Amino acid sequence: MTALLAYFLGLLALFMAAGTAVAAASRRMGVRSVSDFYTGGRRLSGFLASMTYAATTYSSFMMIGLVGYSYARGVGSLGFELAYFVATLGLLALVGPIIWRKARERGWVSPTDVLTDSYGVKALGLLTAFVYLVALVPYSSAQFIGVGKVFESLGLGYAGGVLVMGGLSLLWTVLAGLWSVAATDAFQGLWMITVACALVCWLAGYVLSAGLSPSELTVILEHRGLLGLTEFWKPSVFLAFTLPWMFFAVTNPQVLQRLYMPRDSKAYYRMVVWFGVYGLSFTVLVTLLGLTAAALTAVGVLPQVRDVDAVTPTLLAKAPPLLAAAVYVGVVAASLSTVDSIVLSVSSALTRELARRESIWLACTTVALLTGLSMAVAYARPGYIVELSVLSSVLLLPLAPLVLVAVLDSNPRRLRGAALASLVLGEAVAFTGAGLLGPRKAFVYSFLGVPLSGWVLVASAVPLLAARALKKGG
Amino acid sequence: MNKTTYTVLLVIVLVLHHALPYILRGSWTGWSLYAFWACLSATWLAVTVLALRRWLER
Repeated sequence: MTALLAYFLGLLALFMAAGTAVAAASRRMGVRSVSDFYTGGRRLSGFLASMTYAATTYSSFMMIGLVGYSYARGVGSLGFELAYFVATLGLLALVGPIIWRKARERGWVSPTDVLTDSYGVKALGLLTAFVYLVALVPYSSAQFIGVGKVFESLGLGYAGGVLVMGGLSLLWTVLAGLWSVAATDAFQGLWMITVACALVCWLAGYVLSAGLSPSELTVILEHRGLLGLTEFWKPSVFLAFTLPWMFFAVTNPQVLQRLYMPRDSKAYYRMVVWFGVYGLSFTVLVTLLGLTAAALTAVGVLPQVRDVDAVTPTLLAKAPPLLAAAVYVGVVAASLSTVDSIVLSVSSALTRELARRESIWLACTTVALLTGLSMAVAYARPGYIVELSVLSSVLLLPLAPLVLVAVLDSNPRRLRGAALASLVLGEAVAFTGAGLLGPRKAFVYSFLGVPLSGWVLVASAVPLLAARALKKGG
Repeated sequence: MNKTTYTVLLVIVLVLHHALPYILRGSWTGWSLYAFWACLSATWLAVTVLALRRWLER
């Protein structure tokens, strides 16, 4: 057994034991109703709300994908990730407090409640729950696949990774619903940022020990064009990356539902502040890792890496085994904290829209079924479904105008027909693009210089805005 | 700061975030583009924190 494998198994055992203890301890918060199970009874402290928001948002894409993107495509990767960050802060400041207040006044639990309650159309909630399912099961499966690959690379078997993650996700969700998910999210979020800091510190020392000064590193990166906009980042491609993510806070149910949860306005304020500090630090650290790895490749210290997802493992092969093992567990944490939140939110939407009578038992059963479905897809890895995960943010994009109008318009019920048309039209454009071009190509495809996501947004916004203009004050 | 001012500022920041790197393409040296994006985001975080505190205090 290698030192890396031994450390990984030891740290994973520690992570599982500590996380399960945290999840079990959270049971004392009490889960007596479906609202407690799905939203913690809207009683989250600022710390817990911020950590669960951050850990849910930042998936394994950060430690694997964004490091690889920065390595291969340069500083533009920081730009697209920070566009998400700026826009999210804007939404959290402008519409977040309205959603938080209305959720308390109207008793919203499911993320679909924003739409069904505001527009008064039951079919809208049903259709939205279906969209969540189609868009987010592939996305969750992609997280399982990432963990499966980590286990496979360490010689523990792909299926082992999928099983461990599925088991933990289910256990940490059914123990106390949102309370155990939020508490373990906080634990995992702290693990993720700590290992990212430790990795950057180690890398700084490693660069110096390799005889590279900071100024030489800068010269190398400039020479390779990685500190400017590389050929990859054509304006339409940059927009294709930023546009779907800029509305993430209102389109993705796992984060939209988190806006219901802070216990008071002070907790809401703290959630935004600490999420902001966390998100900015994490993004900067992760892109620094990728850029530094690119410089190390240029001087021959690291081998050339063709697959962007292989950059972090290549870097970790040079790191001390204990640190590398902690980072791999951090990747598991990032995936797990995203998946259990998605499963809980989609379960919330499905039970609200499909069940005649909701119960905690039904909620746990739905969570188990959704976790099993994501695991099965991850295990079978059907090409098209896995590819669809790339497009999840675009498939959810038609919900952006719907949610924004629902919370900002004084009487959204007069727009009920337009609301349905908006969702149907937006999804039609998104699915037609995916069907004709394939999900990967559709993501970066542009027409008249506007990416597919832009057209999806136009198609879903036009019916609503037209109806608003026609029925002004109606 | 009222919400209209904040919204206008948000649009300006997002336009700068997207357009300035392309307008000044070729003239970014060293870590300047990296610093531009990071500082713009940090400034926006500070603006948001200040605005949100006032709105929630009311």
